[in-house]
Amino acid sequence: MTENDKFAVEVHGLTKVFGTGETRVEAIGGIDLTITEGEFVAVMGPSGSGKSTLLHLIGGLDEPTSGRIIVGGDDFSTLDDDALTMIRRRRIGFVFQAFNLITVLTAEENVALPLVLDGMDEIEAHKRATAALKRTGLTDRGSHVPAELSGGEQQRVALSRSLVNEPLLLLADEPTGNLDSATSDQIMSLLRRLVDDQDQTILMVTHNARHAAMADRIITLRDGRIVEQQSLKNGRSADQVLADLESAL
Amino acid sequence: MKLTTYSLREWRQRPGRALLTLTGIIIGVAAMVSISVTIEATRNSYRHMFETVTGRASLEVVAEGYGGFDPTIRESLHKLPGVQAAVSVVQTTSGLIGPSGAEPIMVLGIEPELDHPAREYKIRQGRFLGDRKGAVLSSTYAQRLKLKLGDSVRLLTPRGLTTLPIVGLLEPEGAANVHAGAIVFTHLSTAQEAFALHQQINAVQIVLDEKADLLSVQEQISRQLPPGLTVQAPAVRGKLAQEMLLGTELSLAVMSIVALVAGAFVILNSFLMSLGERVKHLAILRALGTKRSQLKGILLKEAALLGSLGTILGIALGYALSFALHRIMEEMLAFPVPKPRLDAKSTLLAAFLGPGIALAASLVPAWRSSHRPVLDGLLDNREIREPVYKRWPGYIGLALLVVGLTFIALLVTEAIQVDVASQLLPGCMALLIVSITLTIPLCIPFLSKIAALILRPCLGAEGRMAVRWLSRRPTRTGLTVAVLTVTLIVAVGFGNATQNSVRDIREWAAKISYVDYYIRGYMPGPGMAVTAALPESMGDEIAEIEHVEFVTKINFIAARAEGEPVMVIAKSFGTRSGQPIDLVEGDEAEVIEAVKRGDVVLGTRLSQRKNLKIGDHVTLETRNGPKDVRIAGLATEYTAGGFVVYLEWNRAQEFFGKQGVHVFGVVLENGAPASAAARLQTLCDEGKCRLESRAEFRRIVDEAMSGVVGTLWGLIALGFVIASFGIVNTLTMNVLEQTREIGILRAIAMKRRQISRMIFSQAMVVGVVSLIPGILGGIVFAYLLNVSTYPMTGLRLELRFEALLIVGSMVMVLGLSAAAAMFPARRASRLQVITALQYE
Repeated sequence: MTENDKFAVEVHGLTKVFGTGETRVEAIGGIDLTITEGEFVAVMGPSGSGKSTLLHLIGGLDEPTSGRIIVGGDDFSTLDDDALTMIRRRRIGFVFQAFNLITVLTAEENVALPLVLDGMDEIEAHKRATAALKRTGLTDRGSHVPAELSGGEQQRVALSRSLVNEPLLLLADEPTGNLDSATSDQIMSLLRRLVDDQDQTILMVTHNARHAAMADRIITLRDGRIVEQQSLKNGRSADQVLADLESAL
Repeated sequence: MKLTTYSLREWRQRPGRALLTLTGIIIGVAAMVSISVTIEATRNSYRHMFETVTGRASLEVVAEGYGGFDPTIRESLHKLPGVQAAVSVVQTTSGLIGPSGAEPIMVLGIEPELDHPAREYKIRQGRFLGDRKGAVLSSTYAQRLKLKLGDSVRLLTPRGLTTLPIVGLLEPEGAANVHAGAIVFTHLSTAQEAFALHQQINAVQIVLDEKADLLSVQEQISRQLPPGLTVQAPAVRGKLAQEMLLGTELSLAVMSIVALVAGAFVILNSFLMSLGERVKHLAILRALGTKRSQLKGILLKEAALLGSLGTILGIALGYALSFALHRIMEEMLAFPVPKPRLDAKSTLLAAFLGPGIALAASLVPAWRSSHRPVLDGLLDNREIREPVYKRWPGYIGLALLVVGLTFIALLVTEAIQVDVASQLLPGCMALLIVSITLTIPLCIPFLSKIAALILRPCLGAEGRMAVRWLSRRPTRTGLTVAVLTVTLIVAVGFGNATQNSVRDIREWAAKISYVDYYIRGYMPGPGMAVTAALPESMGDEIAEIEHVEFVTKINFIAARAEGEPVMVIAKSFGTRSGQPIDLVEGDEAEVIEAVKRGDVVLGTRLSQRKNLKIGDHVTLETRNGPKDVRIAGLATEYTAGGFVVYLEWNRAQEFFGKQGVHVFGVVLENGAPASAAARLQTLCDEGKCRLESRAEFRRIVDEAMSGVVGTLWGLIALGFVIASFGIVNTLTMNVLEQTREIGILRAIAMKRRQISRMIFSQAMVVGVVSLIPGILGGIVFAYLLNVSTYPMTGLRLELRFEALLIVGSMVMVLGLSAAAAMFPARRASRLQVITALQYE
């Protein structure tokens, strides 16, 4: 990291506790984390380690028990629900494992949705949606509803939708979890290209070490805490990284 | 793409849900519109009937009791400032002999040369009244009766049959259009002669100068009039009929409110379910940056859109239904009510209420959806979709219940005026319905346990699972049970009250029909009794027939008592025992003797309204000025809604003048041969009037009552249909939510039939759970209606619980519950195991 690098995400002393008394579970137990703009960070860890919870908190989908989250300079703790919603709308893009497309809308309409919600002119929104679909390689499937698309195509639609507002931060929660390996590789290549070509900041949760190895940095969580951080920009080979990850997990 | 596109596609995706929501709105709006339009048409028919007849005249001078008076008064009225013209007329009811006997018609005797300031006549064929003998009538009416120019009309009059040649046919406009054209215009002198008025008239119609002030002219005229004459707006003639209709209007208004509120709960239920199904989509929208207010906006727009569409369809259906209701009203009133017109008031009310109710019903679901944590929906955690049931709406319901019951208590104890109570009653019913609906979910756990106990022997393990499932969704189950409960309460309560009233009317009809035969011009509406006047001399002809023991004369005279419009029933009393009056207070023989001496008997409603008791004096407005008469007894009376004063025949003639006879009652000697009845029939055939045996009279009353009961069952069935939509909704939603569980149950070897039985059990549990508060509430409601009948109508009805009605309602609920389960149960049993297990 250089002095010129800006933080896309800053997390300070983040905790999240579910339940009370005997049912109390500490999902996140005090995390400090920064992600610079244009960085691709992968989060790994066993089930129940808090990966998804961390992603949800940084995405403003859930409220922390304590600590601060700052995305693009906006401190979530100072924002009301409407302001937080505006951050989600304009500065954060989401890609989910289950795609989460609106089944009654076509691919193009799904992609245009965040723009329409933002009050953009309909024609302009659709123009931009078509362009976003093109970037993910879906030029001729825009008029199809999700049920008519393959899993890989649906995830590309979701990816297009997350990018259509040119967000500062892209959050991907196991984006290849529901896909076969060939399609997963295509999606991962797309994500990688976004970082390389457009300086897109990505925070991705994954179980797949091979996919995590395509990131710039890997954070490993266990019991709601960061137990290891590895930078992949130090010239180590992917095989070395994978071997390290397997031993860490 | 607009956001409305998204909404439309969501609803298109769930056509069943959209249809149910629409149906809720449509039925509610249709019930409201049809009832409102019909009530308006009926009210207008009374108001406009008299206003149209008087044409441009804004006031009329009449004698008390609408008898004849000296026409010279016209001259002095004509000269008054503000009066443009004063027109003498004879305006009366008669019977026109048509192909199927006499039918009601209005006769207007006018002075053709002086009448133009009041009315315009457009001749289509022939000429206007020129000479004394002749009649003109509406061309459409003539067409209906297959009468042509040059034919004659035969009218029933106090002088017998009067035949008038048709000299002209009028365009069906203005006065010629009144009463669906059932009006005959003739020369004043002809009318005077035919109706035995001896140079007298029975109304002076006053046309005012354009800038004249109506009230001040009315006051001036009033000062000029001798005792016994009064000046009034023409529409006042219809006031008694309108009073009589108030009870019917009130019942219909309550039913329309019940339909609206029940519809609203169906909408609420549908919305809750629809939004339950869309939790994930709504969460995605929120995750993508939809503000809470935006989401609420989207959902409320959907409600408004469905509400508007439902309103349009509801208005159309309501308008169509109003024609059916119109026919019922016409049969009830026995005179042509103008065809229903979709008036601005009803349309605006529907346009406001339809979308308004849809919006109100969707407010809570929309609020819930927009405030649900985003992650709940995204994680597809179905177990947390239904928010924790909060008890506060139940407590609000209890509070509202107390308010509603307090109102009833105030009404029963006569602490509030009847007029005010009548206005507030529909609102109070709506309040009670809402309060019960809110309170029911509080009782669901307890009621479910009872239902489980009852159903355990026949439903087994599936029944126990059904109870558990329903308990996991207290709001949804509560709402469904509540709608069903309210329907049951209304069915049992209203049904029982109506059956009690119907029985009382039948008993009343049996009591008052002590004569063997009635002779009258035509059968009037069951409420108003006014018919064509027959010659008084006919009574002597009847009496001369062998084996006729006694003839009684009855007249129905519109008059005023204590400032209220009333119906005076003038009667001649004979010596034969029987119950010519259905007394509720006073010894029969003593009361009859007192009436013969000049006292009166009051209908209970009038006595109740004016707080008059036996021994008090009532002021009757007569042609000789106000007369105070003593009250000898109080009687149950359904004629003219109970606003009735019984007077002895001669006393009535002294008070209101001779007006012919409306009905002859004939008593035959014991064991009189059939020839006596045959002679009576011959006499009636000659006079073109109607002979009616006591059995026939009772049959007519029975038929009218059967119509009322039929309408009641129709309305109750409508309520049950609305409620069954709620059960279908709930079960369909339960099946959707249970899809995975159904998959698991199938995987661990539950048969399709058992799955079906489990869903069927849920429906039966809902049915049984609603039976308990529904039947109990219905019985309480019936009791409350019974005790509030007295302050409202003065009638003390015997409260009898109709076992058939109660059992019938129970069977209907269980049957509908079972029927409502058919589709969801089939859907559940046909689920493929793998698909069900993978269901999201």
